[in-house]
Amino acid sequence: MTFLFVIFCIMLSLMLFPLLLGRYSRGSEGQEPLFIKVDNTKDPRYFAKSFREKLLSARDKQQDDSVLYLSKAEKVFLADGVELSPYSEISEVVLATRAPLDIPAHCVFQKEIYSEKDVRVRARTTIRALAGMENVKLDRGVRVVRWIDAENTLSVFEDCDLGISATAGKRITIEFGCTFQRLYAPEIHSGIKPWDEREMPLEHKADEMPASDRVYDQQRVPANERIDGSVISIGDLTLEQNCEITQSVHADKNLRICSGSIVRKNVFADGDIVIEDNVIIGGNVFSQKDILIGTHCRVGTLGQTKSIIARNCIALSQDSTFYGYIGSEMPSRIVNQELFFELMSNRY
Amino acid sequence: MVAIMKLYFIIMIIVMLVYMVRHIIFTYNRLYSQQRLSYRDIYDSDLPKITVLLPMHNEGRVITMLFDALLRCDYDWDKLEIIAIDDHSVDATGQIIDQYSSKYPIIRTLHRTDPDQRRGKPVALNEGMVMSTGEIMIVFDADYRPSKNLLKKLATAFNDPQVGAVMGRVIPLNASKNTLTNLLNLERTGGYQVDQQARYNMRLLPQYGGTVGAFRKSLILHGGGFDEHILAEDTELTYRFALDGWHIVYDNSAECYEEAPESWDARGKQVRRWSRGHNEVMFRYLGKTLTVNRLSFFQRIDAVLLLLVYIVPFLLGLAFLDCIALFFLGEMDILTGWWIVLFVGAFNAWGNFAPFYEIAAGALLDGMKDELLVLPAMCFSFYFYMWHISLGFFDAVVDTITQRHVEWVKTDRFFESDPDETENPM
Repeated sequence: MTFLFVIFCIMLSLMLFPLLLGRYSRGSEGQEPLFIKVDNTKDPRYFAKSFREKLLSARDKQQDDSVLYLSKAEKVFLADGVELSPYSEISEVVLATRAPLDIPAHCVFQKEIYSEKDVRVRARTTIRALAGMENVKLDRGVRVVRWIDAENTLSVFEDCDLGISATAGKRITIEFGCTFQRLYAPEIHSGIKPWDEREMPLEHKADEMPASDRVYDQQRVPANERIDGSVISIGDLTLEQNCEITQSVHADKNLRICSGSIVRKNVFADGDIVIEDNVIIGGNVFSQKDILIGTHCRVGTLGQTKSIIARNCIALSQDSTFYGYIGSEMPSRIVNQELFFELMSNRY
Repeated sequence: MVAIMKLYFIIMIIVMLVYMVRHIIFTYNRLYSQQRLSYRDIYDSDLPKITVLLPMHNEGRVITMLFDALLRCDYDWDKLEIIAIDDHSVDATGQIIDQYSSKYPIIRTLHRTDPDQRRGKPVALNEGMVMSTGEIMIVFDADYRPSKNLLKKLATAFNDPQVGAVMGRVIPLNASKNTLTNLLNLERTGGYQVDQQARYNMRLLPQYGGTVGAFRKSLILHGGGFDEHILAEDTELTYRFALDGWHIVYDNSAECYEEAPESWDARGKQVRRWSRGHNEVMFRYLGKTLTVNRLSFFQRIDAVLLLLVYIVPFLLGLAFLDCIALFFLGEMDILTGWWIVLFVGAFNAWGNFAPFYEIAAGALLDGMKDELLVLPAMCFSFYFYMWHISLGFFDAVVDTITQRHVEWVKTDRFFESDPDETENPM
């Protein structure tokens, strides 16, 4: 009988073991709820704004001109009136407050650069991060490791690598061969020389339409067709030349928008999105794969922020204009027309 | 009779294995596959006009926190409308929402006080939608605390013309309170971080959960509003939209704190209500789900398995009894040889309702470590759920057969408003 009682106790203990373990593990302190940044707001220029805020706050408290307390104590290089020579390697945070900053070619900057005046970075220089309070110009082949921001305009010549984020308060112009992951500015011009004058395409304003106005299961919209409402396809979708869609477009697979077409609102696809020449899109472009955008296109609306977002990468051809944000998970690039056609032909 | 019992046992083994494989696939997808991009990355300065619907019944203890959190949100106030619906409250809810409404013009009130009116969330939402001016409806229960950018995250997805509803992620704020809230925290982690995200990744059917979620008003009103006889209006919306070809998307970053039930009694009632509502939807939509053309093969399979999820614990409970009976009858020699692997698999999956794989993976992704040690206690909560879900299933059966009037029962609240948190956001 005693034996059976012992066996019973052991069995009961085994049954209760998970509960006791759980109870014990909780301890006296218990779990904390998962952390949510409840006051977080999205800002595409977050890196620069955060750095600027930290830097200005540190400068207010600065006692020694050669050291700034950012997240930790950082040595400072005061660049005003100093002429750097090519191939320099600077390991301090660089500050320029009184005069424009001219960074020579082939230099390497291991820490952030802050300038209150114009900045020019000459060819093949590598910078970690740069915040400019006026205009910033990057010569050919400059490499940005983390981010770059200009309060006014950011002009980028050929073959630059813009790192994780390149932003500007007014405008970005960016030439062929440049790679980037995120771009943001009220106006972005691709594949043009920074001094080229842009002629703004005509503006349009979409009318409000009921959300349920949609056309289903369409595989193609014939050339010169105008559709009042949204077009939704459960497979591939092609909008042929000179179509006009007054609302949005969604394709469950690949989407091709042929030249001369207009989509007044947004464009979404689970596959690749190929936008050929002279296309106007009034809203956002969003793909779970790649996005290719041809020449003389316009995405977004002047005065508004819209987005072009791809799960993989984006290729932008020359002479197109974008209003707002462009972002991808993998490095994207500005391509010339030949490469654009090559990329496009690989998909068809 | 024994042959029927054996057949039932084998069928249940297969059912459990199907669910187990489903959870393993979801877990694997979440951990190792490419994650589908969320709409949250879109920056759009021209978002749609939204209406936040707040159905409330005796929520005086918690609503000030919700109002304050909503007023702190970064959504343009010109495009934001909040409709606070007092649904036959007998506490101070009515006075509190009137105070807020007089102070903030974006808050409108709807007092439902006529004793002859039907009470409950679906009917309150229907009346709220009729008086709303936005096209996108966002719903919160009164114990939720949205973060500053949550409304933008939810509304942005509606730029996609194919999106009918969006679901955010729920995180218990009172996880540290007791063992029950610990367990609920883990369940939520598995359910949202892994299950919902995997279903979104795989283009299956993420579930609209009725709170921290948004939907297009015109689609619901076009179908005559929410069915006031169904307790699970959220599940009904999920299937109504999906069968009509609309996408339901999940945004794992649209996180919102909630108050989890702190007593087993409250949790039992909540689960019983969910089971009752979900099974009512199952009776109504199972046939349509099997035959609709708009869903792909895998979408349809997942939709059916999701519909059956609140009947499986009851069927499994029967299988346990069946198993015991067969054992004492000396008839457990059902399968021999390698087929015994099926048994092992099925018994490993017995905790199906609290899918351990997903919880473990979710905890890993959320950076939880010590919390996982409470996981074994789910063995016991599993039986608790099995009992209450079975009761809910019987409720649903009786509701369907008798067409009786269903009374909405609200989950008890446990928080007290913290005076320091109810500050003026303006």
